[in-house]
Amino acid sequence: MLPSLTLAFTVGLTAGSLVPYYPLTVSFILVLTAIGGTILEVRHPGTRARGAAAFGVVLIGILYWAVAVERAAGSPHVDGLQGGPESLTGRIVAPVQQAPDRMVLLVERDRGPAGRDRRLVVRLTWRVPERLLFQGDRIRVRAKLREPIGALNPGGFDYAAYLDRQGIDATASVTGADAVEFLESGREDIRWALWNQFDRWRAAIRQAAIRSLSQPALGLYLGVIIGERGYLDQDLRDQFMVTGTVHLLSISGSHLGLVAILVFTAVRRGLLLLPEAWLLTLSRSITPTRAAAVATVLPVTSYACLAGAELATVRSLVMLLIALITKWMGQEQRMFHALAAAAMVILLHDPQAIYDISFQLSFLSVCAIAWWLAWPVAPQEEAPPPERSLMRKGVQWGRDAIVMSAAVTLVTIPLVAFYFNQLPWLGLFANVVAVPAMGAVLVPCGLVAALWQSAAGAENLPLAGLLQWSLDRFVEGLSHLAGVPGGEWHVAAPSAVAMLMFYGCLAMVRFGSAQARFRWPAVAGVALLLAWWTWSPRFLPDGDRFRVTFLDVSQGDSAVLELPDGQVVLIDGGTAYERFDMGRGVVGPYLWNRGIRNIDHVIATHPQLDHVGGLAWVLRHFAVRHFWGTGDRREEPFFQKLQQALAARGVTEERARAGEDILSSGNCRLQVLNPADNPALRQAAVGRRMEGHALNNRSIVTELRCGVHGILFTADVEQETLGRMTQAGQLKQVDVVKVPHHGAASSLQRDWLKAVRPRHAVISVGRHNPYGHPAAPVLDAYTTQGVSIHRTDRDGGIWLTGVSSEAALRLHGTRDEMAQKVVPYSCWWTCELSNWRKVVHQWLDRYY
Amino acid sequence: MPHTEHSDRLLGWYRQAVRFIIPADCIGCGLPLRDDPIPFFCRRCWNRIVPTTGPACSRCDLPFASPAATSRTPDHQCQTCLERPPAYERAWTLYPYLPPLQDAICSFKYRGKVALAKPLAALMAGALPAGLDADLIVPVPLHPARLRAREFNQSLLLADHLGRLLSRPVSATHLIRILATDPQTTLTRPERLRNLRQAFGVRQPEALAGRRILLVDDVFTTGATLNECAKTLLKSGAASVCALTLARTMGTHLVPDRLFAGQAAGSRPVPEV
Repeated sequence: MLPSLTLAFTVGLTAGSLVPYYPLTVSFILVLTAIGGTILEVRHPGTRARGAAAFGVVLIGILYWAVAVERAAGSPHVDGLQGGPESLTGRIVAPVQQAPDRMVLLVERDRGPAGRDRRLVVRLTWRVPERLLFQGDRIRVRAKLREPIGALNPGGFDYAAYLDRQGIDATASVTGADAVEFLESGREDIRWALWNQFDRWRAAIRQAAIRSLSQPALGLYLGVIIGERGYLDQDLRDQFMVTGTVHLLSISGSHLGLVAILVFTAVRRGLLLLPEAWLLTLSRSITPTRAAAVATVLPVTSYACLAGAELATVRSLVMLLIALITKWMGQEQRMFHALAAAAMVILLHDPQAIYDISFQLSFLSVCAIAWWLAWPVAPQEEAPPPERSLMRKGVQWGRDAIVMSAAVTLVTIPLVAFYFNQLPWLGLFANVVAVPAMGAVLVPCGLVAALWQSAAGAENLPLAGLLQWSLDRFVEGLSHLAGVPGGEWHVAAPSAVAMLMFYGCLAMVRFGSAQARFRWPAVAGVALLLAWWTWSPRFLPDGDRFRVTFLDVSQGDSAVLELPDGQVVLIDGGTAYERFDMGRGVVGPYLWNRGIRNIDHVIATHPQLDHVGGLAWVLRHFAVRHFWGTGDRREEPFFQKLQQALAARGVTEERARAGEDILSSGNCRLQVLNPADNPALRQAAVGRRMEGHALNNRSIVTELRCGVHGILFTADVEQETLGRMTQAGQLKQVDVVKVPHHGAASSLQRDWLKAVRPRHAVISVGRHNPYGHPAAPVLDAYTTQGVSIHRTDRDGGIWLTGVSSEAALRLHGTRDEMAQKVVPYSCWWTCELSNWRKVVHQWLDRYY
Repeated sequence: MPHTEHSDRLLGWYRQAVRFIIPADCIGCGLPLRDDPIPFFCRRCWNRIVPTTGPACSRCDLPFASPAATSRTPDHQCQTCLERPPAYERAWTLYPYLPPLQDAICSFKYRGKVALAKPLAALMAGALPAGLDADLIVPVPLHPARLRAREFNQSLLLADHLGRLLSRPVSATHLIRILATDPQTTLTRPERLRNLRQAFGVRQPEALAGRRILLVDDVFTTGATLNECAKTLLKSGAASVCALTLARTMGTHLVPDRLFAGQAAGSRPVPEV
């Protein structure tokens, strides 16, 4: 009963989240279900109570979402959020996330004496912090509060929405020693003392680990023992992802379960070793099994708290506690019920968890395990003889492990493909080895070391040598495995319809097992969908249509050209910081979602971080045929990285020169307009002061001509070059221009603008950028010319589609393509219809 | 009393809530439990457990097949007791060892469902004979090795609950098992009798001197265990020893017909409408 009701509740929450966008459709389906259910119940009277209960719970779910989510989100954002720096006094309400040279704090603003201010949670990044802070501490800080922003691209990950779901209203960042003022320790507040203590323990373990271990073992150790991923190398994370073992990085079933089993067994065995008289006396009030169950509760709960009580951790904790209660009662373990109860606990606490990646993955995997464990065993299979050889046992265990691993991999494939654009098939094999290695060796050793350190208050981590060695071996094995050719297989994100079909087929395989006529078509359906996703074909190349996408890479440039003959050109790859690489975060996923795995031409317009930072990653993960550059060199690390990536992939940089064609096929042609070989400018590049401008002026300008259409990519060129191009008289009228240099005032050249007479201008710019791009005069100039302006900071990624033989050119912005909440009363029907149009359009666009 | 009724209903809701999250099926009939007060058994199955009534041996409580057996001589004894009088003065073996009681005892003993101790002891208390008179309750002991394997002594748990219900002291430490014998359940009748010789001993016999002892065990099969325990206790100076067991194995010809009738009706459980 509980599992089906939990499922109904989840369906209700999902429906509740759709109500603001599709109120009529949801109501219609509900009424239809009610009528259908009533008819069914009249025919089969036995189902009445259950059907009614399930329907009731769906309705409760819808109401719960409305009350818990929509009502809370109803009030507008905080007053004066975009103003100057303001003083913020508040308490740290979540475990402090640490990374080298930075910490991330979730600060809840003090509500004032009368509690009149509304709740405000700020995600505060403190770079180069001078002191440790812990959960529960009160601090004061002067910072500019920003509303959460993130790159918004077609099919991309919406970071702003993600932060919103976490209840974060604003972000801020400060740097340096005196940036944060410590007011009061969390120890002094009874409500926070315990959490504060857990954070202190976590910090002590972290400090000891930093002193005793070196990378990459350090990052892995902190990840798998205290659930802190800030020190984990991004490439190592990618390797976990590729090998399908990324679940090991979240403290969940395998960790808590291990702690539970160890404590339970130790206590039970220990009690059974007591002298007989003691044991007899003890057993009169509590049996060793019951005592062990009670004794396990505290360690497991403490570990879950120490690990930061993330979603997957809480899920395992609730399931384990239920398992322990069941053990106490001496009843049979019911995994689905425990799972359902855990889901209920989490969803009642936070209904928005249904859209959380880790919630979905965690519950689906455990569902798959429970599903496999509950698989009806064929009756003719007789019980195996009790004494089996070690060999047979090993074979049996290995088989079971592979089947279990396969079940989990299969069930999570659509989600992993959707969120990470990967098919981690290596997980089938990797988990069979990695899970036991992690669970039987690394985690126990790591935990013992952490416990020892905490108990003794030691400076260094005990067993450091052993840990370093074994963690290093683990990382080595992982990277070997991740290097298997074809191991890293990227796919397009499956559509919601396909995912629903996949799970429908899986359910039919499982529950339609009585009837073979349902089963085999269902298996075939699963196989077909898998094959389709694995293939992830491209649809566009039909010899006539083309598509140009200006990606939202925050402050920076990146454009993807898909040409009628199937060639793909990438112009720039956005920026890359240590924690956020636009190549990895935006460009890669977009290309995979388009079914692109090979890029014919990559153009690095000029070696500046905001243009080529993300290209190193792209070069390493896509097959690139030609790489075009200006030949300028830089000393900075980002440029070295780019060079290393080029060398590693055996690609040589080709110099682009004005007048050359980068490609020319059919009726499409991509021509270079800049840099012209100008020794004067080259000379200027040597002067340090002029370097930025010189690089900008030498950046590669290209023009795409497809039939009657012209699109001009102007990179970062400034007035000087714009003037030269205008004078050279090589400019023709274009439909779309990428505004030079993110709309900087130094790149405003009215003559040039008059020469190219664009209809649309695209500004690739980041919100709140420190340079003030785009400048007001630039916007004015374009508007005066009658050019319609599109900005990636407002519209998200912008793409235009056209047919080379026709004049029509269509331009879309990601934000416009997102469903909007229906305005009650005034536009029920039209708003909902427009939302449905967007859904259909988004779906069709995948195949365009 | 309205108060009890009220708290009963509250407890019923509580049990139903717990079983909503951690469901359990009745061991007897397999139907899911709801607000049934006994753990692991539904009301219907539990109520099918009824005591043995009718004529029985006045020494070892063995039921007689014929109701006429005791009509003339109320203290008629069975052949076995006449030929080899047991060491105990009197044994009461309250219930026939049949499902669902059999299932209950097995789950309790072998599957660690210690929550059944209380309701099983309540069954014993509900069928106590009138002539019971003892000032010390002694459970049949387990060998330490068996105790470590099973984690508890089922007879001791029953005795503890019984002691509380009867307000009599329970001695868990005086009668001990000194030989690790094979489990009686694995042996035939003659082997059972032989198996237990010298298996028991008494620690601190002075504590037992002159006491009227009630031996408690879960199942009476041949009575060999109880006999051996009684012998040992008497040797150590106990004034008298009586025995009380929850259940007794018996040939089907000895089981009163109405129990079978109840079983036949209960074997195909009818879902509640």
